[in-house]
Amino acid sequence: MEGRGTNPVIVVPGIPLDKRNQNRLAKEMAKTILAFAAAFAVWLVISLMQVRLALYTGAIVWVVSAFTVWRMPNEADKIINRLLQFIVGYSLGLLLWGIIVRVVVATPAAMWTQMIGVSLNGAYASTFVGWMAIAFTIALVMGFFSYMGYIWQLFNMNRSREQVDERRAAYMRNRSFGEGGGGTKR
Amino acid sequence: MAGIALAIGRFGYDFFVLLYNGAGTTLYAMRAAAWYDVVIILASFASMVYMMVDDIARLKYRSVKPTKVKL
Repeated sequence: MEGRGTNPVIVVPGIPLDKRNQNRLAKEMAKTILAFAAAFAVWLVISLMQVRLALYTGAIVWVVSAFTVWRMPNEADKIINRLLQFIVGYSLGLLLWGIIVRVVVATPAAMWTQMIGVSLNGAYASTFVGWMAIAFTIALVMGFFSYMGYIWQLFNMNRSREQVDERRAAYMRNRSFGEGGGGTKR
Repeated sequence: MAGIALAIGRFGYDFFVLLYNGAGTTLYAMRAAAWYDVVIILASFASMVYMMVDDIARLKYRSVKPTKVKL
Protein backbone atom coordinates (compact mmCIF):
# COMPACT_ATOMS: atom_id res chain seq x y z
CA MET A 1 0.00 0.00 0.00
CA GLU A 2 2.87 2.33 0.66
CA GLY A 3 4.30 1.52 -2.73
CA ARG A 4 1.35 2.76 -4.71
CA GLY A 5 2.24 5.73 -6.87
CA THR A 6 5.96 5.53 -6.29
CA ASN A 7 6.92 4.92 -9.93
CA PRO A 8 6.57 8.21 -11.78
CA VAL A 9 4.71 8.02 -15.08
CA ILE A 10 5.44 10.86 -17.45
CA VAL A 11 2.32 11.96 -19.28
CA VAL A 12 2.40 14.33 -22.22
CA PRO A 13 -1.09 15.16 -23.54
CA GLY A 14 -1.58 13.94 -27.09
CA ILE A 15 1.41 11.60 -27.12
CA PRO A 16 0.89 7.92 -26.23
CA LEU A 17 2.99 6.43 -23.44
CA ASP A 18 6.29 4.84 -24.36
CA LYS A 19 7.17 1.27 -23.43
CA ARG A 20 8.88 2.15 -20.16
CA ASN A 21 5.99 4.21 -18.89
CA GLN A 22 3.49 1.58 -20.03
CA ASN A 23 5.35 -0.94 -17.89
CA ARG A 24 5.35 1.45 -14.94
CA LEU A 25 1.65 2.08 -15.33
CA ALA A 26 0.91 -1.66 -15.51
CA LYS A 27 2.94 -2.19 -12.34
CA GLU A 28 1.06 0.56 -10.55
CA MET A 29 -2.26 -0.91 -11.68
CA ALA A 30 -1.31 -4.34 -10.40
CA LYS A 31 -0.27 -2.84 -7.06
CA THR A 32 -3.55 -0.97 -6.75
CA ILE A 33 -5.72 -3.98 -7.57
CA LEU A 34 -3.70 -6.16 -5.20
CA ALA A 35 -3.92 -3.65 -2.35
CA PHE A 36 -7.69 -3.28 -2.63
CA ALA A 37 -8.31 -7.02 -3.01
CA ALA A 38 -6.03 -7.87 -0.08
CA ALA A 39 -7.61 -5.30 2.22
CA PHE A 40 -11.11 -6.46 1.32
CA ALA A 41 -10.22 -10.14 1.76
CA VAL A 42 -8.52 -9.58 5.12
CA TRP A 43 -11.47 -7.60 6.43
CA LEU A 44 -14.11 -10.04 5.13
CA VAL A 45 -12.42 -13.21 6.37
CA ILE A 46 -11.60 -11.84 9.82
CA SER A 47 -14.99 -10.24 10.35
CA LEU A 48 -16.86 -13.36 9.27
CA MET A 49 -14.52 -15.66 11.15
CA GLN A 50 -14.26 -13.94 14.47
CA VAL A 51 -15.75 -10.52 15.01
CA ARG A 52 -19.23 -10.26 13.58
CA LEU A 53 -19.70 -6.63 14.60
CA ALA A 54 -16.63 -5.69 12.52
CA LEU A 55 -18.64 -6.79 9.47
CA TYR A 56 -21.09 -3.96 10.06
CA THR A 57 -18.60 -1.28 11.13
CA GLY A 58 -16.29 -2.23 8.25
CA ALA A 59 -19.15 -2.12 5.75
CA ILE A 60 -20.06 1.37 6.94
CA VAL A 61 -16.40 2.38 6.52
CA TRP A 62 -16.26 1.04 2.93
CA VAL A 63 -19.51 2.67 1.85
CA VAL A 64 -18.83 6.02 3.54
CA SER A 65 -15.33 6.12 2.01
CA ALA A 66 -16.71 5.47 -1.46
CA PHE A 67 -19.25 8.24 -0.96
CA THR A 68 -16.50 10.61 0.20
CA VAL A 69 -14.30 9.73 -2.78
CA TRP A 70 -17.23 10.45 -5.07
CA ARG A 71 -17.90 13.81 -3.43
CA MET A 72 -14.26 14.94 -3.08
CA PRO A 73 -12.08 13.87 -5.99
CA ASN A 74 -9.26 16.10 -4.78
CA GLU A 75 -9.00 14.19 -1.49
CA ALA A 76 -9.38 10.74 -3.06
CA ASP A 77 -5.70 9.73 -2.82
CA LYS A 78 -5.50 10.49 0.87
CA ILE A 79 -8.86 8.88 1.64
CA ILE A 80 -7.98 5.66 -0.20
CA ASN A 81 -4.54 5.34 1.40
CA ARG A 82 -6.00 5.97 4.82
CA LEU A 83 -8.89 3.57 4.22
CA LEU A 84 -6.62 0.70 3.18
CA GLN A 85 -4.29 1.23 6.13
CA PHE A 86 -7.23 1.54 8.52
CA ILE A 87 -9.18 -1.50 7.37
CA VAL A 88 -6.15 -3.83 7.45
CA GLY A 89 -4.89 -2.52 10.79
CA TYR A 90 -8.36 -2.62 12.34
CA SER A 91 -9.05 -6.19 11.22
CA LEU A 92 -5.63 -7.56 12.17
CA GLY A 93 -5.69 -5.69 15.50
CA LEU A 94 -9.07 -7.15 16.37
CA LEU A 95 -7.87 -10.62 15.36
CA LEU A 96 -4.77 -10.31 17.53
CA TRP A 97 -6.71 -8.96 20.49
CA GLY A 98 -9.25 -11.78 20.11
CA ILE A 99 -6.44 -14.34 20.22
CA ILE A 100 -5.01 -12.70 23.34
CA VAL A 101 -8.42 -12.79 25.03
CA ARG A 102 -8.74 -16.48 24.16
CA VAL A 103 -5.31 -17.20 25.59
CA VAL A 104 -6.05 -15.26 28.78
CA VAL A 105 -9.40 -17.00 29.23
CA ALA A 106 -7.77 -20.38 28.76
CA THR A 107 -5.01 -19.67 31.29
CA PRO A 108 -5.87 -20.66 34.88
CA ALA A 109 -5.01 -18.38 37.81
CA ALA A 110 -2.36 -20.81 39.02
CA MET A 111 -0.40 -20.36 35.82
CA TRP A 112 -0.54 -16.57 36.12
CA THR A 113 0.84 -16.94 39.60
CA GLN A 114 3.64 -19.11 38.27
CA MET A 115 4.47 -16.66 35.47
CA ILE A 116 4.36 -13.39 37.39
CA GLY A 117 5.72 -14.72 40.65
CA VAL A 118 3.00 -13.12 42.75
CA SER A 119 0.16 -15.18 44.15
CA LEU A 120 -3.15 -14.16 42.59
CA ASN A 121 -6.55 -15.31 43.65
CA GLY A 122 -9.31 -16.43 41.30
CA ALA A 123 -11.27 -13.20 41.60
CA TYR A 124 -8.39 -11.20 40.17
CA ALA A 125 -8.07 -13.56 37.21
CA SER A 126 -11.77 -13.35 36.38
CA THR A 127 -11.68 -9.53 36.68
CA PHE A 128 -8.74 -9.45 34.31
CA VAL A 129 -10.57 -11.58 31.76
CA GLY A 130 -13.64 -9.35 31.97
CA TRP A 131 -11.49 -6.27 31.51
CA MET A 132 -9.84 -7.77 28.41
CA ALA A 133 -13.24 -8.47 26.85
CA ILE A 134 -14.45 -4.93 27.61
CA ALA A 135 -11.24 -3.48 26.13
CA PHE A 136 -11.90 -5.54 22.99
CA THR A 137 -15.35 -4.01 22.63
CA ILE A 138 -13.98 -0.51 23.24
CA ALA A 139 -11.28 -1.03 20.57
CA LEU A 140 -13.91 -2.27 18.14
CA VAL A 141 -16.08 0.80 18.59
CA MET A 142 -13.42 3.48 19.06
CA GLY A 143 -11.39 2.44 16.02
CA PHE A 144 -14.52 2.86 13.94
CA PHE A 145 -15.25 6.24 15.52
CA SER A 146 -11.71 7.46 14.86
CA TYR A 147 -12.10 6.79 11.14
CA MET A 148 -15.52 8.43 11.11
CA GLY A 149 -13.94 11.45 12.82
CA TYR A 150 -11.48 11.72 9.92
CA ILE A 151 -14.32 11.65 7.39
CA TRP A 152 -16.23 14.22 9.46
CA GLN A 153 -13.21 16.53 9.37
CA LEU A 154 -13.02 16.20 5.58
CA PHE A 155 -16.66 17.15 5.20
CA ASN A 156 -16.16 20.09 7.52
CA MET A 157 -13.21 21.33 5.48
CA ASN A 158 -14.88 20.99 2.08
CA ARG A 159 -18.33 22.34 2.74
CA SER A 160 -19.58 23.31 -0.67
CA ARG A 161 -19.47 21.52 -3.99
CA GLU A 162 -18.20 24.70 -5.70
CA GLN A 163 -15.22 24.87 -3.40
CA VAL A 164 -14.36 21.25 -4.12
CA ASP A 165 -14.58 21.80 -7.89
CA GLU A 166 -12.46 24.93 -7.64
CA ARG A 167 -9.79 23.17 -5.66
CA ARG A 168 -9.84 20.23 -8.01
CA ALA A 169 -9.39 22.52 -11.02
CA ALA A 170 -6.47 24.26 -9.35
CA TYR A 171 -4.95 20.92 -8.45
CA MET A 172 -5.23 19.52 -11.95
CA ARG A 173 -3.82 22.69 -13.55
CA ASN A 174 -0.79 22.60 -11.35
CA ARG A 175 -0.13 18.92 -11.65
CA SER A 176 -0.89 18.19 -15.31
CA PHE A 177 1.13 20.65 -17.32
CA GLY A 178 4.53 22.24 -17.37
CA GLU A 179 6.49 23.07 -14.30
CA GLY A 180 4.15 21.42 -11.83
CA GLY A 181 3.86 21.66 -8.06
CA GLY A 182 4.50 24.62 -5.85
CA GLY A 183 0.98 25.97 -6.10
CA THR A 184 1.97 28.89 -8.35
CA LYS A 185 -0.14 29.87 -11.32
CA ARG A 186 1.51 30.72 -14.58
CA MET B 1 11.05 -19.00 32.22
CA ALA B 2 9.01 -22.17 31.91
CA GLY B 3 5.85 -20.10 32.28
CA ILE B 4 6.87 -17.74 29.51
CA ALA B 5 7.78 -20.65 27.22
CA LEU B 6 4.45 -22.25 28.05
CA ALA B 7 2.60 -19.02 27.28
CA ILE B 8 4.39 -18.61 23.94
CA GLY B 9 3.68 -22.22 23.05
CA ARG B 10 0.08 -21.81 24.02
CA PHE B 11 -0.18 -18.66 21.95
CA GLY B 12 1.31 -20.36 18.89
CA TYR B 13 -0.90 -23.40 19.32
CA ASP B 14 -4.00 -21.25 19.62
CA PHE B 15 -2.98 -19.25 16.58
CA PHE B 16 -2.59 -22.35 14.41
CA VAL B 17 -5.84 -23.82 15.69
CA LEU B 18 -7.52 -20.53 14.85
CA LEU B 19 -6.08 -20.53 11.33
CA TYR B 20 -7.02 -24.18 10.83
CA ASN B 21 -10.58 -23.67 12.04
CA GLY B 22 -10.79 -20.25 10.45
CA ALA B 23 -11.35 -21.43 6.90
CA GLY B 24 -14.13 -23.79 7.88
CA THR B 25 -15.71 -21.23 10.18
CA THR B 26 -15.65 -18.59 7.45
CA LEU B 27 -17.34 -20.91 4.99
CA TYR B 28 -19.90 -21.89 7.60
CA ALA B 29 -20.50 -18.25 8.49
CA MET B 30 -20.98 -17.41 4.81
CA ARG B 31 -23.47 -20.25 4.41
CA ALA B 32 -25.27 -19.23 7.58
CA ALA B 33 -25.31 -15.53 6.71
CA ALA B 34 -28.62 -13.74 6.77
CA TRP B 35 -29.91 -11.95 3.67
CA TYR B 36 -28.94 -8.55 5.04
CA ASP B 37 -25.39 -9.78 5.62
CA VAL B 38 -25.19 -10.69 1.95
CA VAL B 39 -26.54 -7.26 1.00
CA ILE B 40 -24.00 -5.58 3.29
CA ILE B 41 -21.09 -7.57 1.83
CA LEU B 42 -22.23 -6.83 -1.72
CA ALA B 43 -22.53 -3.11 -0.95
CA SER B 44 -19.02 -3.10 0.53
CA PHE B 45 -17.70 -4.96 -2.50
CA ALA B 46 -19.34 -2.47 -4.85
CA SER B 47 -17.80 0.42 -2.88
CA MET B 48 -14.40 -1.26 -3.05
CA VAL B 49 -14.67 -1.75 -6.82
CA TYR B 50 -15.80 1.85 -7.30
CA MET B 51 -12.81 3.20 -5.37
CA MET B 52 -10.41 0.84 -7.15
CA VAL B 53 -11.63 1.91 -10.60
CA ASP B 54 -11.47 5.56 -9.54
CA ASP B 55 -7.93 5.09 -8.27
CA ILE B 56 -6.81 3.35 -11.46
CA ALA B 57 -8.36 6.10 -13.59
CA ARG B 58 -6.31 8.69 -11.71
CA LEU B 59 -3.19 6.55 -11.66
CA LYS B 60 -1.62 8.22 -14.70
CA TYR B 61 -1.98 11.69 -13.29
CA ARG B 62 -1.21 10.98 -9.66
CA SER B 63 2.51 10.52 -9.92
CA VAL B 64 3.40 12.82 -12.78
CA LYS B 65 7.04 13.72 -12.80
CA PRO B 66 7.42 17.39 -13.66
CA THR B 67 9.07 17.85 -17.05
CA LYS B 68 11.04 20.96 -17.91
CA VAL B 69 10.19 22.49 -21.24
CA LYS B 70 12.77 24.66 -23.00
CA LEU B 71 11.24 27.65 -24.74
